Amino acid sequence: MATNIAILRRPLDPTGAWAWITTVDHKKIGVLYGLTAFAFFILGGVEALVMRLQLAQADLNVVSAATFNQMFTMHGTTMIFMVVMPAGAAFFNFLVPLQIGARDVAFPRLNALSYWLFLFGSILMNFSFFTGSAPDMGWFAYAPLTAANFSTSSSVDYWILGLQVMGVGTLAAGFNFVITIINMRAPGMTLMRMPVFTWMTLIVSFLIIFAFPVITVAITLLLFDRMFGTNFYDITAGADPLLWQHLFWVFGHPEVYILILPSMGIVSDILPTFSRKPLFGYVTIVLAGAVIAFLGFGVWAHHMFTVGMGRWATSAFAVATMAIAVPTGVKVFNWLGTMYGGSIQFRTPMLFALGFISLFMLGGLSGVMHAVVPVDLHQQDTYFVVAHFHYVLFGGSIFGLTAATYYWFPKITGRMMSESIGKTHFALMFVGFNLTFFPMHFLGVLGMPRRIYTYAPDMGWSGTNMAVTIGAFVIAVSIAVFLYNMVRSARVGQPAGANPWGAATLEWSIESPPHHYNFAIVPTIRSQHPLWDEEANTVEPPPLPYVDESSIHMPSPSYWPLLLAMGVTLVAGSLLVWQAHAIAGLTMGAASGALALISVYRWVFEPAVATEVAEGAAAHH
Amino acid sequence: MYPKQLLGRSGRLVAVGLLVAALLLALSACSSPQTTFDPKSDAADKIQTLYILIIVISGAIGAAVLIAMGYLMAKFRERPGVKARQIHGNNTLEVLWTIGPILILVMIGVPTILAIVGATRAPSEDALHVEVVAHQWWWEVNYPGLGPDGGTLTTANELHVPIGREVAISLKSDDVIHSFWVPQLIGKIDSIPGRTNHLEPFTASEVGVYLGQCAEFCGLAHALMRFRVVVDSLGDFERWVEGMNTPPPAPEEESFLASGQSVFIQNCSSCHAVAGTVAAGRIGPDLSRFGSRLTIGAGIMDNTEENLVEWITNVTAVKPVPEGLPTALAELGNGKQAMPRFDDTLTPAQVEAVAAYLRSMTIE
Amino acid sequence: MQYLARSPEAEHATTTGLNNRKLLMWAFLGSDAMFFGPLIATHLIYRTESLQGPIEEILNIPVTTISTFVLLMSSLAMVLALAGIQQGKMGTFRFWTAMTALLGMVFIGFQMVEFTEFAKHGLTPRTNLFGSTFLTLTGFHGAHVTVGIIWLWSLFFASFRGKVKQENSLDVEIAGLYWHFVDIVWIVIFGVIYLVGAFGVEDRVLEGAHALAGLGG
Ligand code: HEA
Ligand code: HEA
Ligand code: HEC
Ligand code: CUA
Ligand SMILES: [Cu+2]
Repeated sequence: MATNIAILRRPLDPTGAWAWITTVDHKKIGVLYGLTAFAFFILGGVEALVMRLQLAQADLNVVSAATFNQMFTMHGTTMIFMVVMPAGAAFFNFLVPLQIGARDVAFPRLNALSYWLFLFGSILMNFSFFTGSAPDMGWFAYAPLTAANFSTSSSVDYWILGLQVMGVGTLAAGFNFVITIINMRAPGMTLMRMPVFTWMTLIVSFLIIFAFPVITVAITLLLFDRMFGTNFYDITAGADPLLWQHLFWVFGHPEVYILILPSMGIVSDILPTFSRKPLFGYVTIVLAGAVIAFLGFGVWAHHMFTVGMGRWATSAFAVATMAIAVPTGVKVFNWLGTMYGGSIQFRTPMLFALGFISLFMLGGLSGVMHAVVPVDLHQQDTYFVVAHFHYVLFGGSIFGLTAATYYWFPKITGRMMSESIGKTHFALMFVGFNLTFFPMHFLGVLGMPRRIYTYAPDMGWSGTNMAVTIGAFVIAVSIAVFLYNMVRSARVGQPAGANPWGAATLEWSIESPPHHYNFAIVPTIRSQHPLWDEEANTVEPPPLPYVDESSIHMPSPSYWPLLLAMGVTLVAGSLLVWQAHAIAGLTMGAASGALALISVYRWVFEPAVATEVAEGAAAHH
Repeated sequence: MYPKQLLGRSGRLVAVGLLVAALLLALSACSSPQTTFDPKSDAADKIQTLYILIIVISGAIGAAVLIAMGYLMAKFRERPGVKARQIHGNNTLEVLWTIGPILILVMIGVPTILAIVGATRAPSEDALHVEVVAHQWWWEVNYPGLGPDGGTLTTANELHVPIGREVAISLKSDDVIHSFWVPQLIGKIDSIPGRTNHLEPFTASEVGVYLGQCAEFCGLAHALMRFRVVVDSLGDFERWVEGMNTPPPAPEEESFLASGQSVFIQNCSSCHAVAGTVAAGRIGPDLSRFGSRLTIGAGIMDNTEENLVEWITNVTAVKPVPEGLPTALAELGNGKQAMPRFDDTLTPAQVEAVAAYLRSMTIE
Repeated sequence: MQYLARSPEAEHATTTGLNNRKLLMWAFLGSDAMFFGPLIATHLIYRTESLQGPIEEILNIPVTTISTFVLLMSSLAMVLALAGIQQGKMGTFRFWTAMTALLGMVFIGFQMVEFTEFAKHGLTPRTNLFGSTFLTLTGFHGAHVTVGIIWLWSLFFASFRGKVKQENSLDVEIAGLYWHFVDIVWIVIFGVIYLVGAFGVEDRVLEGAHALAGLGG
């Protein structure tokens, strides 16, 4: 090993915290993503509760206008970029290699880098709370409100830089999963045999690699405007006031499908298991996912129906938006078809999956209502929209991800989650959810705009708002129950065994939790339901005496992803310092830039599998 | 089969939820001045027709899917000895439930497009033209051609429009993006800096005061950027225009009001205008005939003596306006400054005088 | 060893038979295209919207034609470098790799001259919309070329240490993919920004269309 610096010697077999910090194992990274996302879920949820307290009645003064603006901005940003996306990534990571019969993702160190960039980017953005300038311009940060002359604090800069760092990590993850799914499948795992969750991961990864560059450009230009005096969003220099909106939503709408498709995949895997029959219309469900993603790039301006686009552009975007209801409807109906003729077991994951279908469907329908442009002129920027997107984001994405947690928890930890607590959790969350978000439709109809920190007592909104606030606290209780269930089950839950649900897909063929190398022998797949159709042939055979574990060399742990992510984040941070103090910023930038460069260099010349391990293995043969 | 079985557990919950919700709506619709469901203009009527159409259609779809789901949950729940039927799909069904939604969407899409095209029509010949300029966080209202000598009549935060005559409102912004919305009269359209947008021309159908609010997040006091639209009878509207155009009678010399006027000229006229006096500031709202305005501070409080004193004394206590606002658009060129607090520059007596002066200028 | 077939980062035995890193480069380039797309679009939206200062008339088409030609030739050199290493001819490989990098450097030289020229005529990213979009767009392209140059020189020097050889010609192939992509992006920029800008192509197309319509009516 080249390096002599003890602390940076390549960790070969780290234990404890180091094992997590240096890990390149997709399963560990998946768990890290999941835990981090959950922590941010609590943070984003608490931000929501603060808003709900302030809005419970008219004319309250729980928080100031400035704080309220920070709350909804950070709530939206957190929930989307630090909760739903990473929670999706948690399952991509843990499951995709297991579902396709691979030992890891295509680029394990890149995978670790993605996680660290996500974590550090999120921390960078939230750090703004300590400097008192948390982002306060809404999660879509419309220019020119975000231009330097209207947002004078560094709140927008924190938002941009945090997002930028996270975005690089997300892009890297997108590449990784595209390649992994295209190229790392076990023999016989044809595309049309892949579990739907893996399919949706593939589609989401494509969405990421095509949509994220656009937001990267949008925020880079904004950063240039704010820091270097360019004119991209400067109306006084003749800039187009709608440029930002177009760039943002060209990214933003595909983004919402990035948020929902994983849950659609999850539900498509769970329904067959608990209906004891194959998915109804597998091919159509997969195709519909692809069509949704494709159409998703052509509807962005439905967020801009009020900007005065001209009749034909408006009509075209309205029609394109409505069109998405067709493939989505096909999915919903095929899920119902899956239940038809089944022998349905109402276990907790199934309850959440059913919750997903009903709530997401309702949210989708209010989406179609938005597409009716004249009606949207009443709904846009009111609580009706807030109701719509919580139905799809919470009722959809979060319910799906919660179903996934109950479903795959046994695989991840080797223990079952408690059914009785799980059902309590479901009941509380389902009731709390509808109590919180259904009345928001009425608030919208009654003319309550979103993003207002206060309203007058004579508007007729107070009672409904109180109901909403109570609902939010019911949700909070349900989340506490969920947390309790996870902690408790991880310690004293029933041992799960390989396939506790009697499911059909490949990940259930190996022990729970899986070995770090996943499959002792790479399986050969002959069907879409390897564990149902041809049990004898495709399940991993009992460990054969000649399978020598030391002959399986997995990529070795590495420090460089972590250090590179640190370097990149500090470079971003140095821009903020630079604004306040040029020399300090430049020094910090140089130092952290050096850290990043060294990390890249060392990474490139570090073999994926440490030479010691490889040699050891060779000697073994 | 009784409903309990029919719907299944979550189905029942949803049904109950819907019912409760419908009741809530019915209860609150009548007392909500900003409701979208009590249209008072032809344009708002058209929107409501579409609104009801889409609520009925999506409600029906939603209910159908939920009921089907409840049925499946009840019918196919695990039973001892009954095995799941291994069905992989059904092409006919899948084609059907692709075509079905397409047909429904055509039913929604065609009226949508027709309405979009209708809403972007040009105003009629005799329409009343109003130009609204949004500022952080108040509305400037201009009536081209209605001012003295065919000039522009300017007011703020309160539009007067006549009943039965088409009104064509154009929108501009002096700083960031805002959105102009009067739910009972017209759907919202954004006020965008550097652009002029047009609302669908509408004809109000009932005399009254309608509440409006800025609907696009525009910074700190976005929640307090409200306004009123007063729909007048034709005669009242004429009287209002005439009243606005008549210079206010000069207060008697040495009187309380005269002292108020001089306080105003000295402290306020750099930002505020009062037609017919030397006060011609354009940074803040035009205060001509302020006494007949209904509200203070962009629709946030009633125009009472007490409230006005509070506003002038310490505006930051009632509205979060930061000190020193960013520069505005050169094109509209008013420069920009927030309303300062006067508790340390003016004595309470002076404040009272200026408040009385402003409130004295009314339209009979 | 058969059990290792799917072990990560294996250079062999992928599902499609394509190398993982090569696929990664393709995916990256697809993504990168979506990066340049909005930048180019922004420039097209803004090209004539500036309120002041020099705009398109400042572009020096003859000079840029030369630098474009230089970059095109570098792509040719890249092809020859790859052919060289694939055939195991290290000398050929080194010569053409160095040529590619040098041509790239000449291109960057042109760009630096262009930017300083513009600055002298009062056009910086802060001057007006044209300056912002044009310099950001071509600046990002220049950054891409610079990364490519560093990459090529790294390959060049690594080849002396025996780290780049016929067996891993793939490393060169991947760098080549990147280089060609950056080249293609430049062709688009040159066509859409310089030529259209300088000659007002679309105006003339429109004029032509009007003329035709006139003839018809
Ligand atoms: C998970 C995220 C997610 C998903 C999946 C969707 C899905 C959809 N969204 Fe939503 N949307 C958001 C997240 C999402 N949205 C967010 C976050 C915003 C607000 C952003 C902001 O302003 O902050 C938003 C805003 C938003 C707007 C802008 C509103 C406004 O600001 O005025 C519109 C307008 O058209 C819209 C439409 C749609 C449509 C048509 C769908 C469709 O995909 C829905 C399709 C599904 C169905 C229709 C249901 C199932 C189908 C059937 C049962 C078949 C039969 C149905 C019919 C024939 C109608 N959405
Ligand atoms: C996935 C996305 C997601 C999720 C899950 C949520 C969840 C919630 N959201 Fe929100 N929301 C958004 C995405 C999301 N939201 C977005 C994108 C916006 C737009 C932002 C913008 O306008 O810019 C928004 C805006 C938004 C608004 C509008 C603000 C405004 O316009 O002024 C409101 C208002 O009520 C709201 C409420 C809530 C509530 C009550 C929840 C609740 O469901 C939250 C429930 C969660 C908790 C309550 C967790 C707390 C748990 C505990 C406290 C357990 C205790 C345990 C420990 C402490 C260990 N959200
Ligand atoms: C530096 C500029 C400035 C000065 C000086 C100033 N104002 Fe204002 N004023 C404003 C602005 C800006 C607003 C709009 C604030 C808002 O609603 O957000 C305003 C609003 C008002 C309003 C409410 C108008 C409406 O339509 O509701 C009144 C009344 C008012 N000012 C009175 C005064 C008086 C009286 C003085 C002097 C004692 C004064 N102003 C001095 C800038 C100024
Ligand atoms: Cu103006 Cu919100
Ligand atoms: Cu959208």
